[in-house]
Amino acid sequence: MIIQREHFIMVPEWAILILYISVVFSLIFTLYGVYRRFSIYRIHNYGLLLSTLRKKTSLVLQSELRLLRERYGGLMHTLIVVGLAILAVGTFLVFFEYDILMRVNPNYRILTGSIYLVYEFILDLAGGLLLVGLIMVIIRRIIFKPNRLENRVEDIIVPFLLLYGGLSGFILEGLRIATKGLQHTQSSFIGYIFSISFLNMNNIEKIYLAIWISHALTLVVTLPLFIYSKLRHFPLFFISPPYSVYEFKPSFNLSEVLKSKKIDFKVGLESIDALNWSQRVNIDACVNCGRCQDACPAYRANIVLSPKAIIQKLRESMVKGICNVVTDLALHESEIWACTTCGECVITCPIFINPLNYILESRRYLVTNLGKVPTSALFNIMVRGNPYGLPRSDRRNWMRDLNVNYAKEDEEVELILWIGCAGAYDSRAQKIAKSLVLLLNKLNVKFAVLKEEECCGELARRLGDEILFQEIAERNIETFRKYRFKQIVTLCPHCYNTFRNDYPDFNMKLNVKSHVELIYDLVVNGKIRALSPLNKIVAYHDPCYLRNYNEILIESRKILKSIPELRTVEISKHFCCGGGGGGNWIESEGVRINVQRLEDFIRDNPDIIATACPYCVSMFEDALKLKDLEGKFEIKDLCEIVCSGLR
Amino acid sequence: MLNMVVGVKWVPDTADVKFDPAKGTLIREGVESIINPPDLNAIELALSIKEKYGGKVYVISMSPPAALKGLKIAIAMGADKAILLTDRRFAGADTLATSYTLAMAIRKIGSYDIIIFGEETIDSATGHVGPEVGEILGISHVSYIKRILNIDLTSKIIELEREVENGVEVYKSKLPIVVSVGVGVNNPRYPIPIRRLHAEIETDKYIEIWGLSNIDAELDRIGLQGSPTRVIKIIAAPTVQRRMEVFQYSKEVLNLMVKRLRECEVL
Ligand SMILES: Cc1cc2nc3c(=O)[nH]c(=O)nc-3n(C[C@H](O)[C@H](O)[C@H](O)COP(=O)(O)OP(=O)(O)OC[C@H]3O[C@@H](n4cnc5c(N)ncnc54)[C@H](O)[C@@H]3O)c2cc1C
Ligand code: SF4
Ligand code: SF4
Repeated sequence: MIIQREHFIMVPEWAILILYISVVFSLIFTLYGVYRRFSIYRIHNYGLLLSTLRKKTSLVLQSELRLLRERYGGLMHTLIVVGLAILAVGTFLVFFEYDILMRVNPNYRILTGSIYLVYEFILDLAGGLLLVGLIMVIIRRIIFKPNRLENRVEDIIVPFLLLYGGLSGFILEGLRIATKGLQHTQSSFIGYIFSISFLNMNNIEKIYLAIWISHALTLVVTLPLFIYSKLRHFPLFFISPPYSVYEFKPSFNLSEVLKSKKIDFKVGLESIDALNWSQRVNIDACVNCGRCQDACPAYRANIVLSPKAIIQKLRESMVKGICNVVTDLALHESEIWACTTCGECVITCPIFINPLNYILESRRYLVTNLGKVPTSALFNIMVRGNPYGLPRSDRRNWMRDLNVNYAKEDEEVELILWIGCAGAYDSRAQKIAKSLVLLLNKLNVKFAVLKEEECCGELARRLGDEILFQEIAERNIETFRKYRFKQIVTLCPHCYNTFRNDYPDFNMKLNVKSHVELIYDLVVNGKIRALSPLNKIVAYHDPCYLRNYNEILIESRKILKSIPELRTVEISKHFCCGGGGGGNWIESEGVRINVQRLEDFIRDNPDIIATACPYCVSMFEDALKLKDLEGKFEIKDLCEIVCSGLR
Repeated sequence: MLNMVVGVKWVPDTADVKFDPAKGTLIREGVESIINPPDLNAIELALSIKEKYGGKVYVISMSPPAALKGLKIAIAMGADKAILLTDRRFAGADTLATSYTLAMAIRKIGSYDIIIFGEETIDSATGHVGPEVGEILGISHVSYIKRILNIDLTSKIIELEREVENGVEVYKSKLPIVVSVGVGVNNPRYPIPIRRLHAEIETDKYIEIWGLSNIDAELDRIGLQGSPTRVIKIIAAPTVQRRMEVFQYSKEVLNLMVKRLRECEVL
């Protein structure tokens, strides 16, 4: 007997005709959906679309890994994706053999002999994986639904439909095996299990036909769902740009505007119209999975802001063609200001959507065009060059009794130390700055500070005043150009990120290092060694602007490891301290993000909560005061710990 | 429609001005100038009146040309027009000459209903200018006002509240009027960045520069020769060491603050 794929057995010609006709309709309907979607997106740059496609294809694995950070949900998704992918290839092979090869010559086949047996085995396995995945989905949707998920109609219909498609496929296979007698059951092992119950069935032909038609129709219906339902995230994944955390580019260049004396640009997200096509594709890909929401510190504290809701609201307005965003309160000002710009949502989203981008663009609109900003920090930066509103001349107070030199324009220095506004003005952060200076002095590392130092502009940019930011950036860049130095080291991760990721927009590539990297280098090259032992338990809090924006996390831990007797505990999940994106300056109602973050740490009862950012330190110390725990835990910057261990 | 004129002084940021005890003078080198902070309250008041009753807000400053920067900020906050009074012959003015010059300029603007000044300046702090302008123009003036209660646009009558040490006084007056605004009675708005850029690029559209020839002033009442005051000597007052901690507002913080103040025996 020849082992080969038998096409359309037990199915009359008319049913096959119905299948072909409905496939044509389904295709037309799907193509119409694609056309509609593309007209919503207003895609015009197809070259970029192609390069996005390439980039995203290389990110599939990373996306799956992001999903797997949550075991159940990740596994479920992986099973479905793998199952569907194999089934799709399998179905294509059948189509290719029957509708192309065999039309040319009825003897041309690929699915024969042992190839066919392997094919059957793999497809059965894939169907099995798919079913397990779908059942996991349904159990989770119905029995233990995480809060972040909503059950909308499509969330229920889609898994049940796919489940029916898979099940009916196995039933058909079972029926086929049952009628034709048991053959090569080892390859169609799941179909075989199904067939056992069908062995002595009457009317098998009719039942087969009925199920065959419904199975075929399920597949016909599923295709357009990849455009019309949330399954569209699958094709859109590949063409929506993988925005990084700092994917936040200016829409104009201030110095060019001043030169040309023309203000012909728009700033920020005034309305849905202001979204460019890649942003449109980006938000439309959102499946409402809520992973970003679970990661959001503002949501965890007060539920005012959910990055998921931001994306979904924008998406709905876009699809319905409603124009206004911020003004029409599709997005509410309170959500826009609750964001700490921690970037956690961005590095969490499996589709690489960037909710932060839209929040910041909304801020840009509110602030740059309307001047609406809920803190006086920006005005302070504008008039006094620091958000505290303290006198410019006080910027030098922190270094009064220290051995610190100003850089000279005619002398090259190895290293410029950039203290930042917190280190210069905040009394707690001044101590961190002093520690760093002592550390450098003890190790004989030559450095200088700039007498022109003022705000780096980070806060202005995150709070949405792009004009002020660019003014400051240009001024600082001019200062940098006056001096000759090899590298610039920052005490504050916010300055660090601004120099590293924002200033290049203005043609200023700096060799910038965070103080963590500097200390790490000193540990690695043996300059820091034989630190005195510190018999303490230390829990480290990652500053978002090091971890999420710049992937600096190993270095800090290695520095701690270099201290004898020191033991570390890891806090399982990262959350922001609440200080970024203006959080330090904007009054918030309700539960404090910093108090909640402190609670994450005190559960493990460390002696020291270490971090590497003056904002984090001040947020934690405020939280200690609020919880009346002052003195119970020490809050330290890494450089303070290292400095006090230097002999 | 109300026409409002706000007086704004461009002052050195006195927080940065250090006293040189040896020479008995102030060290002003390298000190940046800012809008006299109480004048921001004056601008804010004018803008809020404009929002409620309609009208136009003029900002006027007698200062050296560097004050343009400050006037751009005033425009960005929402002022319709700014006038910079700058002329060598205005220099050396004491409060009387300053007030006379300002009054003549305001007269030149034409119609004015409410003239608004800050409470006082951070660099001289006399608080004279408001009342003196009122006297020179011969119209009523009220200092340290807290808020406007009502303006009747047809009868041109204004009702306003003025804070005094142990109470509140309510005044009614016919327009035009000169008022000076108590410090901190309102929250000055943030200068709209894009408007600031417009003022930067199209300065002429928003800001006029006037010299002596633009106003009808008597020569012997302006500048040094119009100033009867003479500074004999400046001495530094002893400074008090201050401490500061910054908190975000909350109930807990309030309790904590009370606790701290008790510890310092302030309460
Ligand atoms: C004793 C003394 C001697 C002085 N000698 C000199 C001198 O030799 N040379 C010199 O240049 N200056 C001198 N000054 C400074 C000058 O007289 C004052 O700065 C000016 O008259 C304003 O007074 P003030 O700052 O006290 O304003 P205040 O009366 O405290 O100001 C009240 C409000 O009036 C408005 N206002 C004040 N000044 C202006 C202005 N220029 N333009 C627009 N609005 C304004 C503002 O709204 C301000 O809030 C002297 C000041 C004093 C007190
Ligand atoms: S950046 Fe952070 S605070 Fe802002 S929405 Fe994303 S997760 Fe929430
Ligand atoms: S933005 Fe991403 S993580 Fe957030 S709900 Fe949408 S798909 Fe999920």
